[in-house]
Amino acid sequence: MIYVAGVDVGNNTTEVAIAAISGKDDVRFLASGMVPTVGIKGTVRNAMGIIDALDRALGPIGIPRSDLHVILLNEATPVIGDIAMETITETVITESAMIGHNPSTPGGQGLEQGRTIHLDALAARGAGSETLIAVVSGDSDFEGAAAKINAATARGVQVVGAIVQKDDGVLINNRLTRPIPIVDEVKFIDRVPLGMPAALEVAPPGRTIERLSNPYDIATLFGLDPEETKRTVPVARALMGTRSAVVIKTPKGDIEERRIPAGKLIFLGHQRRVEVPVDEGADAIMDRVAEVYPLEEVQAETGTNVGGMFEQVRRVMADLTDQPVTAVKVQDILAVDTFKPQQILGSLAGEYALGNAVGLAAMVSTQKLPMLRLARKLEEEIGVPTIVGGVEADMAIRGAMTTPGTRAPMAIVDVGGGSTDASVINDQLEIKSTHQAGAGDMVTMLINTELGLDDFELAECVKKYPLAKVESLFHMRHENGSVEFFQEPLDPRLFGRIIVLQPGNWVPLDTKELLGKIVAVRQQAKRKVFVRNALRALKLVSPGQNIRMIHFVVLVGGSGLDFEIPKMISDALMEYGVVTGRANVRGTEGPRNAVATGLVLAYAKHYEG
Amino acid sequence: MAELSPNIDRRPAIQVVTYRADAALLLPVLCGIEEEQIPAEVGEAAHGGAAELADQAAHASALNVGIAFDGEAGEIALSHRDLSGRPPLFVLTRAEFTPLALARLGKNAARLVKGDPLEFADDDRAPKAPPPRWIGATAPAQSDEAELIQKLADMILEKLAKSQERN
Repeated sequence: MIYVAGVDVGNNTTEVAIAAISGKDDVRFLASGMVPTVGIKGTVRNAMGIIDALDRALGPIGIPRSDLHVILLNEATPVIGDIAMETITETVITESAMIGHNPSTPGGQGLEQGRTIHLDALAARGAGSETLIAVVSGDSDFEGAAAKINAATARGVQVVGAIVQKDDGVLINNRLTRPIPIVDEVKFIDRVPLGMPAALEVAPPGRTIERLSNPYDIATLFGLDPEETKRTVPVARALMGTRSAVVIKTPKGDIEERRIPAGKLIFLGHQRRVEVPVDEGADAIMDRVAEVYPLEEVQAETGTNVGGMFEQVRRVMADLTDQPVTAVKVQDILAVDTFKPQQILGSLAGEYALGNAVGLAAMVSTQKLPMLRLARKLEEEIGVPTIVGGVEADMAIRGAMTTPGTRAPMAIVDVGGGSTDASVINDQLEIKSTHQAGAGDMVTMLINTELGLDDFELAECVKKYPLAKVESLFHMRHENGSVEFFQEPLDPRLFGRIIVLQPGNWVPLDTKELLGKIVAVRQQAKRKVFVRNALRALKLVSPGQNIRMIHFVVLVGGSGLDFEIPKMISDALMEYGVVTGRANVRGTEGPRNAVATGLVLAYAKHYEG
Repeated sequence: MAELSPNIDRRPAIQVVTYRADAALLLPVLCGIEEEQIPAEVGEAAHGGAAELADQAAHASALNVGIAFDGEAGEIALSHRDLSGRPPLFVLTRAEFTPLALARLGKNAARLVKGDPLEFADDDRAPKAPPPRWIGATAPAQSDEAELIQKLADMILEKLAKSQERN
């Protein structure tokens, strides 16, 4: 009898399976282990992670490393993915100023129009018919501000509204003899142009502004001609849905929405060469990809954003594989439409508008990742013979077939961090595999940008775990509506917030978005990438490109553990009459350990004792 | 303490109880509540002990939130009825009596009623400033090409940093 270890180095995790083999096909699995992968998959740095994973598996069963007869290393799929985001529209508003935001408590309500004036300049004004909007900077307290406005009003000066830096709009309004609408919490008050015509609107609680979000109302208020009205469209759009807004007309207002040259993609197939501009959007790009499939190479217009991204992918891949940059071919891309919140030039309260963007995942295929080098390194380190064996997809399907209730013909879908892989095994036990660009990392990128989190780790967290809203010091409402009570009070920092239920460390989100919106963004991102790719990949490997010809689909890999991906993929495949479920490797491991298990089984097939 | 006993006829308000309190210090607390548009009622207590008084005030409040200001001990406490028998949610001592901190305590009392996220001293981070070139007149003339080059350079630097991290 010998002890063997199957080792699977993935993009994110390194998994091992330890087994005792007593004869041909006589395998007894003893232990499993899993650690995060150290270094990029396929580099010698992986060895540290492998040793760690081995120790974790061997420790509890009391077998020293030196007792291992052989270590079986997966022949890693020679693909590497990279992701990037291309903004294709940008709203530029210059020489014109606007404020549109949701202070929690603005003062008063209504729509007013007047010329902007500094609070301290009010004293010098005499009675008159011109309406004024007072600009109150943070150094004035609410009582002083209210007193100055009241004094002006008493003299017959028409103060019809106010723009306030601090959060005291209600306090000022409550102390005025004649209430006026007040927009408060305007961070960059020093940038409000003075002496300019302005319109100010505050909506009643629970409503959003109606006039300043309509270009024709803005035209009416400022007497704009059709050309000028056209240019206010981005302003009106950015103000839509806010509780309060200010629009200030400045001379020579120059507002434009422009498209950024995002560059062209060039797809080279066996026979055809097709170009598509990135700014035509994801659907156009993916249609073209389908037209020329199978792709031999994807090129990007040099000197553009997308060109830069492709250069980078090639360079990383070339370094990794010791190949010249020119030998690296991009063999698949996935494009998805997304939004990117963009700071608006001319905004005074830090508002943003959503710009259109396209997210791209690219996948590079090379001759072979240097797994042999890793195997030699491992032998040196721990003195156990190490064999690189078995195509990853073959091993994965072998491992997945240990799931109770499955049999050939069946397919596996492995959604990883960098790529989505699918394999089919038919009645004759022949295996066909494919790798598609775009997986977990891309979903994280979409969540990160669409929610404007600017924090990749937080986005990863939002992707992985469900949300809840903390409604009192003792209870929270989960995203599915169920309520959970607690015996001990919750951290007051979580109170009233949407939190990510990361086990052991709940993370509050600093956002004014509604919980439903965040859930929608997360699920959309997963659908756009995981579901689309699972279907794309399965189609490529199914007999006659027809998914209906497959009866069993088994999900393996870490994303099989995700709390909603299996259901999403299952829903999508339902239409094709396919039984879809998460693998349960060896009846104990869940969707994990398929490749490591497959390696051991493949070795045992040829073991003669 | 009769005036603090629960009373079903009482209008919904945050109960604020004071004992030998300085009115000038109480004002920011009340203003904080007012800005959040929640009513407050101020009452006088016969003895000190901010924590205990805040708990009692929370029980007396139809909104379940109470604030107690013990001027003699120099302590202000904010409590919620659900915290009955536990320490108050927030306590400020004399050294912390800045107008901002006092107003924040008032705001948080009101936000507790509304179910809105609370404010903390450390979340007054510097706001993200928009690019300083927003006013067209003062903006440096920047050609599209220059912008593109800048963008590319930024992107490459970022990617390089990332790949170095990985290695």
